[in-house]
Amino acid sequence: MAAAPRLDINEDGGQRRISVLGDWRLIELLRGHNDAMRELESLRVRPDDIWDFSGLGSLDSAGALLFWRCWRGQRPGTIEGAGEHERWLERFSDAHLERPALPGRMAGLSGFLPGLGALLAGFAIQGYGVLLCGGQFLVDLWHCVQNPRLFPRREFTASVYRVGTQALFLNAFLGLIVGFVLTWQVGGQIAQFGLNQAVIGAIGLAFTRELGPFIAALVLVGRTGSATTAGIGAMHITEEIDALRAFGVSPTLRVAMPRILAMTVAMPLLVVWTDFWGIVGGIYISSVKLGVTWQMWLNQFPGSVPIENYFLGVGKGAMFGFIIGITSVYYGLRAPPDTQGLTQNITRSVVVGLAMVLVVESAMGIAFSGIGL
Amino acid sequence: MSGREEVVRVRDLRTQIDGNVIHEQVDLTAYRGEVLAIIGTSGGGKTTLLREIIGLREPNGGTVEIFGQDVHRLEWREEHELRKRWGMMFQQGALFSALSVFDNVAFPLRELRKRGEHLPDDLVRQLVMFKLQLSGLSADDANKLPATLSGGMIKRVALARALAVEAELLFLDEPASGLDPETARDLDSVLKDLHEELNLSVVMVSHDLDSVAALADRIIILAEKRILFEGTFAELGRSEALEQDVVKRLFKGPRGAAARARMKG
Repeated sequence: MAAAPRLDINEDGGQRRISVLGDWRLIELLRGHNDAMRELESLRVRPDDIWDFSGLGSLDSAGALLFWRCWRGQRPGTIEGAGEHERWLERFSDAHLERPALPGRMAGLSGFLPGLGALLAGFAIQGYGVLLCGGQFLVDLWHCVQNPRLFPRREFTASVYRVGTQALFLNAFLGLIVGFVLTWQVGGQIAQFGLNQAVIGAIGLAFTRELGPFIAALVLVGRTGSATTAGIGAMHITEEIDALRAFGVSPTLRVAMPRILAMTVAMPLLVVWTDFWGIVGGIYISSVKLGVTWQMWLNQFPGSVPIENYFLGVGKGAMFGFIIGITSVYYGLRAPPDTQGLTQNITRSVVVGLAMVLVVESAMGIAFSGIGL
Repeated sequence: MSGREEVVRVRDLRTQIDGNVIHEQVDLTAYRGEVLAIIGTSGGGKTTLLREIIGLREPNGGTVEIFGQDVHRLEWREEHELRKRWGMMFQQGALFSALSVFDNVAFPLRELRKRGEHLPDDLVRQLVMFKLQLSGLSADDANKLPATLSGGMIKRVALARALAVEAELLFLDEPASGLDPETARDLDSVLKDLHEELNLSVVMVSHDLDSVAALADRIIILAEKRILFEGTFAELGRSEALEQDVVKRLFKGPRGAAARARMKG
């Protein structure tokens, strides 16, 4: 079928006749016949060469381009038997084969400083954007308070289901495990001093105040926050956000607001749920290992863990929900409609969300150190 | 026709999606060097058929052979080798959104290697630039990202990418859809030139009768889950298939004018 591409060069009295044989097609050239390609590349053209194409099987643009390159972009004096293949050669003569230059990148310090500047400016822009997103949420919410019919009920309930109901098992599971492990380790220390019943206060405080909200926030960032960013970002790619705008529907009100609100509302409930399972884990381990029964827990819990801690934890949950809500929605809405930009924004959403949760967590730890301890 | 080499051969193909039968007893053959157009109504499973032919979807029954090899029963290495021998242009372009126009077209060329040997970079560069211009794009478009392109330009880049390796066989899914008539005609003439120049075999799916009439050597009418007709326009003009309502509706109106003209010879 296809014949290997090759060159047959005959020299006769100082004049060369270069016969082109076989199929000069990209597929053939790569099928282990790179030799022909190399031979042609290394051939030095002379003005009086005769190029004989009458033995040519077939030629595609890659093959034709090889000849064109060999001829340094100029037709040689004598071409014989090219026939219909001439068309390729004509095409090259007015084609622009050089790629336009890419905008250059600066190297060294002159590249580092603008890069650093762009990075810092990027942080500032994103921080400002997240703030604006939070502000827009409040504006949209106020709008809905004034016109309750505008409230996107269906989107809100669907979001609560995704954020809350579907995360119940994961939260319970993580709460229970952390409850087991923490009680096992703390209990061991406390038992050395014979203060077995102090485990109630220690575990109770740890969960209601810190761990419950934190575990719930971790699950929210990783599970729901990333999915929210990806979902809204994909709506850009499919032009759904534009479609909403075209129908006169505000994307922030219909897409962003219900999701942020759902996270803010569902998180306190998830915190209570996670607290519950963490403490169940604590009760189980302490009754097995330390002899502190569930009746003791019930009796002493209200005294050891003041009620303020519970409200503090629940409040933190709402706060984290709101923060993760606005960051994940912001990065989704700002995602460029291509795969790389979307991936980058999902990463940012998770990283920034987690970082902000940690910062707020520490700030609240300091601010409320006088309450409930 | 029996003497001609078969490039695509589909026998007794059956497709079922979510309990709905899409194709039943579909047989078709494409010969080397011809343009075969699969036409039919929207939602009639044309694109699904094409996806099954190139092995993106497993049919529920039947066989698909390309260059005599059963696409769905190959070892991955053989399948990989076979896949290099055809180009595909997707309906929506399916450009890689993270890559520039240039890199999109260069992609299949850079993937082509034999025992680790790549094509030289500067050859790839010139080939890509040439393919872009062949498809009607300018050199300045090379560094653009797909997100900044118009629908017509996306089609052209997709065509340039499908043509990049100059495979013997080209699959086109709705090459004219979403284009204005003039751009569509330009694209048709580019395809026609290439087809003549390279002796390409083309299998296209289309509901645009103008471009089918301009390009196709033979047509296949896919409707009501089956192949209602396979043959040239002239044969269709004499065929009983033309009496069927679905086929009549397909060629009715001003959009079918060019196709009807070809049926008369």
